[in-house]
Amino acid sequence: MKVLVRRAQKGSADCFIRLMEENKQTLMRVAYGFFQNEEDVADAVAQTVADAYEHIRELKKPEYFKTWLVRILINNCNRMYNENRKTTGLENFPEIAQESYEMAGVEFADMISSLPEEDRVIFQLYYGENFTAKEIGELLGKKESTVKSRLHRGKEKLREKMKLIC
Amino acid sequence: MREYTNQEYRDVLRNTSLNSPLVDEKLAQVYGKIRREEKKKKGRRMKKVFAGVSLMAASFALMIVFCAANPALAAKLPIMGSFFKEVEEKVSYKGDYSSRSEKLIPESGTEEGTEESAEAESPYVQTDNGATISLGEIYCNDMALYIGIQIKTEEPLSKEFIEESMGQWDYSTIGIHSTATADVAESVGLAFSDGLGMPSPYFIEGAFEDDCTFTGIIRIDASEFVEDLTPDYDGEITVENWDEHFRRIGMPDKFQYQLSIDKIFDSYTWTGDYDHPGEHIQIPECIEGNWNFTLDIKKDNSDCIVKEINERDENGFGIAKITKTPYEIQAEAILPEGESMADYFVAIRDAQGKPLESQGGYAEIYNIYQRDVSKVTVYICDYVTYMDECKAENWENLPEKAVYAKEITFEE
Repeated sequence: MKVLVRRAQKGSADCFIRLMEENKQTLMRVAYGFFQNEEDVADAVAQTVADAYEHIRELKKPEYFKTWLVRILINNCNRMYNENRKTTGLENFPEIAQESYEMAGVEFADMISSLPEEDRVIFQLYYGENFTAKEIGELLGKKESTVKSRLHRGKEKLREKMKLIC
Repeated sequence: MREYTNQEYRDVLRNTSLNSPLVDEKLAQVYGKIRREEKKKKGRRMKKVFAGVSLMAASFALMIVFCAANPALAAKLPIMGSFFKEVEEKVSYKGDYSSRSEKLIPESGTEEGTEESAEAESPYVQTDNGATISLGEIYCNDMALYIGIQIKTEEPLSKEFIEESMGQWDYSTIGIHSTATADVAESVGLAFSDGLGMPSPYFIEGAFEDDCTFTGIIRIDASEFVEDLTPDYDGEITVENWDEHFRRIGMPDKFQYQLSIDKIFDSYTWTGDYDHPGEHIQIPECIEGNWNFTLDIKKDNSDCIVKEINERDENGFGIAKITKTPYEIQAEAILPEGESMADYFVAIRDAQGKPLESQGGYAEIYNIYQRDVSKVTVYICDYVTYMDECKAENWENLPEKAVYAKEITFEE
């Protein structure tokens, strides 16, 4: 990947687009932790790709490309989420929409919907994208210990939910 | 709803492939814009190269005439300290470059740094739009070209400009937009202009002396020197066809390097202000102008060692060669047929078994300044495994996770 990053930094659109295509699934899966609306996911991913192209020359260490890209995505998602909340008065994550099942597949959507709302992104980054708790802390501006306890607490909450259902 | 195990979370969250025609459609629009932008940039860049070369020649001729007619102006050219000495231990590619460098501008306190020498005009000091750029020294070996540079502004730079330049490192960086040409005809019978893979620096590592003065070292890697095999080709250059169009020629023994800088801006970093999402991208402050330099470079390979190894194991992994300069080390890996270097990482440890640190721009070139590298161990590791399990604080996992290891001794 770092060869592609260097070439993209040198101005190769072809290499940049290939990099984005290689990371598209990651971007979509993480954005999905913020939004259950396909349109919002698409806007966040497209804006992230545009921002990354504008600033890729300023990335100093190609090996941190994925972290850098996900950070741009998270900033965009946070901004969009806050804007949506202001305009719609939305206080909580919405229920999973039917279109999301079609987009993601039932198993993925079911798993995401089973997670506590505020922990979806942490679960996705940790289990889905292989980031360490420390890296997630840096990405989300939280302490490593907070990320670990949110992962632990999230699973506890799920167990409690399960008990109630059973 | 049911309860999932950790493995199930990993399997589903990691392996689910999402499918969205809407995402694809929006991305296609962004990609279209990027391709159009690239074409525009290429056009502008080529124009700038030609314009820059003509302007440089004209400016140089004018300067000779003007300085001859105005000795008082020439006398104002400064005597300076060594830029290398000021920042050589503050950049990621640390080294005592000042002990090996060729001085372009007389250094104060030396025999050459007299009032008489200061009266001589210097094409290495140029002022435009309130900013003076000086190139003080050069040093070049098989691995890279290093240029000592100082940027002085008439007006103090803003606090934000200077703070942003620090980023996450222990040194500052300044961004520059530049084009470069290198005439290597004498050395390897080639001449080329700016374009893909050409040696045009885009940031400088260094330090702020005060809010008007930044001193740094430009490093241009030898891998940037490539021959354009198909100069008339107008199609797309891709990773797959790159080798058909370009050939790496390495650092030439002797060449003329022309550097034209047209923008100086603060280095972009994330503020980390998570309470204000969407406000993280800093719009760079920018000084625009024309600063054009021509440097005659001669490679100095003293204390540089290239060891040809050319060994591989039964799995097809191995080391082709290892190059050690007084400041950096790099190993060239051999991979099994069909494997790509993009999927592997080459890490090196010193004689004490401690990992060497990458220097700024190139992750697999390691800084060795003040490290014992009489004996090193080179590891080849799967890229993802390295990043997830062996980098930074996990470095002790490397011997176990690497697919290949080779100890190499450099005789004194």
